[in-house]
Amino acid sequence: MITHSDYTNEVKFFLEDISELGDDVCSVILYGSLVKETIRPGLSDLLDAVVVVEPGLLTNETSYYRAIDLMIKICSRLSRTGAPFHPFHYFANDPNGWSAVALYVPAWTSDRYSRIVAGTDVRPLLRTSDSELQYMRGWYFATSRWFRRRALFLNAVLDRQEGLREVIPALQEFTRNHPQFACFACNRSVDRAEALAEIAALFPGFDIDSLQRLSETAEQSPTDIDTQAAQRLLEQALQLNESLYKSVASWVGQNIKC
Amino acid sequence: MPITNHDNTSLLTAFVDRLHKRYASDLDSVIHFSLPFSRSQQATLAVLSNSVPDLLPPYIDAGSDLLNKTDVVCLRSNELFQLGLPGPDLAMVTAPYWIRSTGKVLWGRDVRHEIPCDHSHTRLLACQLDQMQSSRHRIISFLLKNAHLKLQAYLARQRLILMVNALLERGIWQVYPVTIQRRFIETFPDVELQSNISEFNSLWTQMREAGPDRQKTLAYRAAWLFEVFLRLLWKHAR
Repeated sequence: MITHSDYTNEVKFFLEDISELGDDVCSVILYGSLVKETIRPGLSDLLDAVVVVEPGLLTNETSYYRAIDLMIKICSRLSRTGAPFHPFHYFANDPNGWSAVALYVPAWTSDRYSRIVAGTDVRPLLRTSDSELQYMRGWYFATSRWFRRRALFLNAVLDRQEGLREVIPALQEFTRNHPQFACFACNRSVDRAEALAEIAALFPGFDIDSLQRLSETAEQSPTDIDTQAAQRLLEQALQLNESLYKSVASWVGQNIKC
Repeated sequence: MPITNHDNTSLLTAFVDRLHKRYASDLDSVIHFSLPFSRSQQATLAVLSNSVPDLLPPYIDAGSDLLNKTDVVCLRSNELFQLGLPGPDLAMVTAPYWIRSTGKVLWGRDVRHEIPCDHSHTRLLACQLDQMQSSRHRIISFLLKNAHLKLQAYLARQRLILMVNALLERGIWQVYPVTIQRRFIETFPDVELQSNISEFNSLWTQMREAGPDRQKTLAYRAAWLFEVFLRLLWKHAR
């Protein structure tokens, strides 16, 4: 049984482990549910972190392998807890700062959504090449197309167990990512936590309550749902995807010179 | 390069008929074109009028037979702008150019020149490099699972995305999976880049033939080469 304290303990273990890299670690940034205080034990990702290192660690082959070995060791321990997790992000802090895709900038530069747990505060040095969010706009439209294709495919293979098992992860991906991507497409650089409120403000006619309910269902359902439930949820998600896509495409068409 | 074969022609004709039956005058245009980096290496663009409420039916009309043989992209007339946006979709980033040069209008208006086709002011490569740097933690996921061949395939695709965008930023879009490396090396005559590409290619064969321990060593080397590749490409980004 995973508890809230497992999450805070993992941060301590993580910091102990990462300290093996010594002065090569410039900064460790924590973000996600632990910082937002929205942890759902066993459901939330165990450790959302960014490690910013000295450039030399990633430009010397021997140092690089040492770093990779350590990251694998840390992730191996995280995987044994049984809680969902993804490996932490890592970046080199070059003389001009560090550079990431625009999606992460709101969370990784804000005191509300991130905090420094080791080293110096390098968040002001974070930059993105996508200053006009064109790439993010393209990403949103691509994501919308991909989801449409994936959902239609899954709908056609619900008679197979492997098809059924894919439905809830697909819905989680949709409800977690699409609202935030849609906000970026409409020039609203927001953290994931603010995305639904932002969508509601941008598109008053959009059925935000249904999206919220679908999100809750996707987060709480076991992956082995029955065929009828899967079909109903997929259809709902497809309609929400179409509706959100239409709103975003119309907004971008009217407001942005692409 | 031929963009259709006889099997597809009949499937496409049936698709256009179904679309016309469903949408009548709301069907603005249907264009079939080459798309070398997509799974099927070809795609069909269906353009509907702005008043159409829902874009799902055309995908259902396409049917799995056609969807297995061509990518289908359905847009409203006032949504064509999105084809000109940068993004992580390897196949679609050069789509506007392929539509213009190889597009065959199967129905309705010729909308090819309404699709934005200018990346001269877009920081294509830098944005992709940001994206790769932000997602390189995935390398750890593969190594953690000892999925060494999957890692190699993943890195090969990431490198391909970077090459396509680097070339497009230089105005070069007419590349194919079999010609891209040669074109990239010609366009970026950098000895380090060349040797990086050459060694990465050689890892494919070595990895397939290696036992688990050797495979792990080669996977680490592939990850390292990718890290170097990113660094070298930054020098060429706007």
